[in-house]
Amino acid sequence: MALTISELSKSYSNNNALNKISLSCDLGWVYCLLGRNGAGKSTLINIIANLINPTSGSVSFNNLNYIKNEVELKKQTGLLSQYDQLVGDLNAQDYLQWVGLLYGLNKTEVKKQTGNLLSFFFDNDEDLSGPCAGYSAGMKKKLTFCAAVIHKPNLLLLDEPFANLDPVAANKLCDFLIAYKNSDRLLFVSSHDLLYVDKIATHIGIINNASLVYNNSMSNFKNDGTRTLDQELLKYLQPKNNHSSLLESII
Amino acid sequence: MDILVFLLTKRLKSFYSVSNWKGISSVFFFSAILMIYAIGVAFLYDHYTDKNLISSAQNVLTGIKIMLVVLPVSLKFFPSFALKKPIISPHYPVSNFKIALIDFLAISFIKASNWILFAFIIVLSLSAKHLQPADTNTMYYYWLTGFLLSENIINAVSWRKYLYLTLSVLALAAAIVFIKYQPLLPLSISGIYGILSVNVLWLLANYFIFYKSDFEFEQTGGYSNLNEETGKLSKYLSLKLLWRNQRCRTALIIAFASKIGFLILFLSGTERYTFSQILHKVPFVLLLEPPIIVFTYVFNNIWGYFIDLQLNNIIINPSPKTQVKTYLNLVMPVLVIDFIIALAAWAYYGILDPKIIIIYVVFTAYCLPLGFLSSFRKYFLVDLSINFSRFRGKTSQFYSFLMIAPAIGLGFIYDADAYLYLYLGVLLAASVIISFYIKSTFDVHRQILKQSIFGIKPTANL
Repeated sequence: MALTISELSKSYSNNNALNKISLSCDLGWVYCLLGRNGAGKSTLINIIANLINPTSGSVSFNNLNYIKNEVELKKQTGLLSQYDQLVGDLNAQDYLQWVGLLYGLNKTEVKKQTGNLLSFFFDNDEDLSGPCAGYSAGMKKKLTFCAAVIHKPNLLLLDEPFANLDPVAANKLCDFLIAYKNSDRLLFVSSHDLLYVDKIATHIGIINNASLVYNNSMSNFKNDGTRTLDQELLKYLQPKNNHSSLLESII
Repeated sequence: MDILVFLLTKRLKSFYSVSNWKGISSVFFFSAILMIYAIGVAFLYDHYTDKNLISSAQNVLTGIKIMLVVLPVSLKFFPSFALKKPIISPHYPVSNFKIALIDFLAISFIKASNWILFAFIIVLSLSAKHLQPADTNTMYYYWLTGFLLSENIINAVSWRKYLYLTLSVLALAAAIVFIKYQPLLPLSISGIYGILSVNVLWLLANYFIFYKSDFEFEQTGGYSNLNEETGKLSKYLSLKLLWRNQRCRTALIIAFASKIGFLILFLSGTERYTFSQILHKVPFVLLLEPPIIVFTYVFNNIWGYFIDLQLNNIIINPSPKTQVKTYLNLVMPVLVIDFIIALAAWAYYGILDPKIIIIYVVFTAYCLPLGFLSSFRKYFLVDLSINFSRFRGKTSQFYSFLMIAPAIGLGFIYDADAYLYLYLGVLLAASVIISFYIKSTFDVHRQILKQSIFGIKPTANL
């Protein structure tokens, strides 16, 4: 298996954000992580990306880990996080050039990748000449995604990639992700958008109350197509049952 | 290397663009003042040396050396400060050391203020006929020390590393003490160079050892915390808002620490001189008595710190009364602390008299509406250069001036009671007029704020 997560835990003073998560993923997979808000999905992605350190447990990808092979592992990883990754003062082209330099790409490669990515994800009427701080939320998301794949990483970590995207951009992203997966890369995605998850996922993981409560293939999860994604998901998330009385009171 | 070249090119290009005329003008103005000052100091030093007043000449140099160490630190925090953010996110394949090096060379060292001070030393050494090369060389050491201290202190404050902060502040104090007493110590020039070199290397090592590039990513929220608080209305909401906002908290700590420091510095002579005698020598010291620092440094641009709160205000569109109440809820606790500090200082130094309390009250009444008015002018973003600090709580210079200028003037008429009370009466009248102005033009100000938040960029730095 390419990605191995073993007994990963993260806790803050009185709060367990992740509790002994173990899972393995292989190249050519799109592993989609589902769960409620605050369940620990982003924390898990941020730990895999080395943005935050786990309390215990380990992460390795292609037999590389952050203790021994930090820089090498980071070169193989691309990240779209929920943090504002953009440098607001730069325009799209300059920002991608900056990220390309951070990944150690040469200028010709950066120029070529930048041109291709911007042409693929952006329309001609989208003005990319100004500082990206002034872009719309969707443009910012697309630009951050371009930065995450500029160096063609083998492990692509995506935290809510479909948020803020219009349906056209989201479908284009789906096409890209499916093609990317087929080129023998691993995509590790956290999303609430079940419509797009249904299109791209090969495997599903569900985190509830800081623990991994489901970890299997997509076909298994949907029971070979007899159930919808959200019906199956709600079984694991166990929503509260006092909705109707509260609703009356609220309205 | 490519990263350094990229950053330096972008920063220099954006700085020297026509649209950055404000930034260029202020750098030019700052340079001009310091160069004139350097020539003045050189003449003074030569004058004392020619008259064989060696200790006076030495005092002039001591003052300059202290300035070289203290000024870079002061410029980090005044008139505004920006906490450091990671310039390169830790998920990129760049080592912590390399990030620190990039920050050091391409972000910090290149700053105009460093090179203006460097030019100051060159102008001083070229203008002073009697200045020894050894003195010039030690000035370069102190210039480097000041720069390193300022970077270490802002890093320690940004990352809340208290041991690091303590070490850096102690190093600052030690540098000042060393400069002051160095002429009295039996040290050879090579001994002085040795001590200064070790100091520079120590500060440089601290910078790289303590450098942290992943400090903003930890999240402490989660299920257990959320469940506990669901459904409960928080008590002391404004106090929590003040204390939980890291930037505001840091600004408050700096503001109060500065106030206490300045009060100790200027009032510690009251054993030998009366307060009136001190005011006669340095009239502007009265500026420290009213709550000017609180209003100019912290609350002048309160929505810079509480922009989320103001966004909610815009969406809910509350009445002017409600907005004033929110403002007062945030200002009053801080004002009370400021008053207690001032009161303790007046009592300790024996200058507590009704006149000074009246001044405090009148200035509070004058600053409150001005502070409220300035709170509609969002902080001004430095959007023309890559500063990698996404937030810059720059105080509004126009409103700061409106508060500072009358306070400076006050010191000159402190002993002339008739003029003083007339002056205070004018300020009170101004306060009433400004309050009526706000009331009658409230929607206009709200519109200005809306434009500055939702518009492409703020149109004015009022």
